[in-house]
Amino acid sequence: MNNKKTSGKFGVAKAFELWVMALNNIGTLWIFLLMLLINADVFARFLFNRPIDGVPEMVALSIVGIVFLQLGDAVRAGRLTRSDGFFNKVVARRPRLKLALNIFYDLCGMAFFVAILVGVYPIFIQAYQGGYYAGTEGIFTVPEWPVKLILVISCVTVILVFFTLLVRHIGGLIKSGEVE
Amino acid sequence: MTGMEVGLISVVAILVLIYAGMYVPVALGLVSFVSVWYLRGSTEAPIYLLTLAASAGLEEYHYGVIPLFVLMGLLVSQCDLGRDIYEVANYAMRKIKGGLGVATVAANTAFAAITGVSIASASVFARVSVPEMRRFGYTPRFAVGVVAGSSVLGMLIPPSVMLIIYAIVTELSVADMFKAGIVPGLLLALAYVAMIVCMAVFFPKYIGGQDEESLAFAEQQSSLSGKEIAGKIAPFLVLILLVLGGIYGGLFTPTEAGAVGAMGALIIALIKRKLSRSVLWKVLGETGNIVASLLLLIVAATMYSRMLAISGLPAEFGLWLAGTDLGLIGVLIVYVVMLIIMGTILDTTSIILIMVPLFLPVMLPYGIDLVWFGIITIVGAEIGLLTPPLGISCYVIKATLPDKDISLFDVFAGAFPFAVVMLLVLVLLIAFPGISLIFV
Repeated sequence: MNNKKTSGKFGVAKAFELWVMALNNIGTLWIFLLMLLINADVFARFLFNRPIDGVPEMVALSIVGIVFLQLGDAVRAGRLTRSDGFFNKVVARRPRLKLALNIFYDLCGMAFFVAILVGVYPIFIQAYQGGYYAGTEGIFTVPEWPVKLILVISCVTVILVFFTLLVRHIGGLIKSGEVE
Repeated sequence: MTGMEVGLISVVAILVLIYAGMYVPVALGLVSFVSVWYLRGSTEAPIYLLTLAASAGLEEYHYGVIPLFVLMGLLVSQCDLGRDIYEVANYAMRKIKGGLGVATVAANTAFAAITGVSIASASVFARVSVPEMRRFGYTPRFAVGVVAGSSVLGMLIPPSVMLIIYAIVTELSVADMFKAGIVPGLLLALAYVAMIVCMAVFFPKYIGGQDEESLAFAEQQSSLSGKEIAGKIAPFLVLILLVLGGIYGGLFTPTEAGAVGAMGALIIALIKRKLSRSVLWKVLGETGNIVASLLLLIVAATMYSRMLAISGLPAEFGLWLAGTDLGLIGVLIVYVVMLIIMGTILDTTSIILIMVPLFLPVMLPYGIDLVWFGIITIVGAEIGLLTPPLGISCYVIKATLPDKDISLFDVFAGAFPFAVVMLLVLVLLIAFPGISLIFV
């Protein structure tokens, strides 16, 4: 209804949403390319007896990239696995309890990804400065740092997504307090 | 506190948090993180383990099977292949008592051989076969029950994401798990068919639509020419041959089979004109969401199983169980009961990832075959999906039913006989390991 107004008012929030979607779309495209790559490898092997070098390495690195690029959107869309049947029943008539619990879960989510970030950041720096690569020298090699960078960027993004959920849930809690 | 106490408290804390609605991967990962922190006295060890799980742990060629088979499953669901195979099955079963029900089971079995996600089967057949059964006078309760019951076949008959995930947690070969799923899957399908036919003969009122008039009507409505049948079956044969033939024939690795299968499904969807650019993009995006949440779960579960190993809980637990004189069968009964209880609230993936690391060290001293143990785990966890209070399959079916007059209670009541048959099949699988291991 008042889309224009909100996009002006919450420019940062809107830009962040687009960012999360962009990461997700890169991951999405990546899955498709991965499928094409493996098919090309299989066909090259059967038809010309000449497999494409480095496909297993590319697949292995791709999985990490795909998963982390898509995590932000999965969190935003509420697609992380949770058992909400029991939760929804218990809190159905207690909206404030539901909000309070959600705030707790958002904070835990942030903490979890901060822990991952603290671990992967030094790994990215090492891979970048040390020039690490995957594969076998002389046949096929691919530098490791781009995927580690994706890990770092994605962790920061997921933390921020949890933060936006947190802000929304806290806002809801304050509002429900005012109503009472 | 001893390591064992920390481990025990962690497992309880994880279960409580999950029941209270926390994200499963966050509950598993964060509680394990804190436990290792406590046990080791610094954050260094848990951060190292978590990083290993999230980064190097995911860099596995074999994990490629997951996005590719999920993509294939979603593409196949897009092609209306479910409807096609159901029409063929109806035609083939038209002379059998309870034919539409039997056809639902048969169509699900075939569909399961080309998809790896059983939620896909549940939603496809809730839309396709429930209205059809209602049209010919079947009772709503029976109609939804058949769909719920046979949707679990998707998890057992390869390719199945559950078989893949179990193979990953236990470091078994995906191809072996795929071989082991076939016979138990077919056995379960046959048991369902036997039950439906018995019901149709002895309790025709429960099924409905078994009077002369409805039967004649159904038979007259179902007609297909040989050419139509061939056209509807061909895509199935091609995909099954590509994927399962490729794996069993040793032509493809499971990852390659997933890629080739997804490509095949894509081409079939294009030929059938079921795929616009926007639909393809939507399918890819959905694949991404499913894959991200599945693999994050695996990351968290890796952390969890490291935590368990450090705490020493599974080993102590094993000693304790060995001291209770339960024996292998007794331990398995405890295990299955726990699986069923958890299955009433959690999805199968989470159950496998929580229970298997806890029980694997317990089972190893008995010298059992882990492939067989995997089949028991999956069937046991799946029973819970059909039982209240929170059988997930039943909720999916309720959500996708076009007919809003059918209540959730009807779905659960209808699924109940199928859950009982599953339990009986599980007893057989436990009693005769050979059923699962015949091809392995």
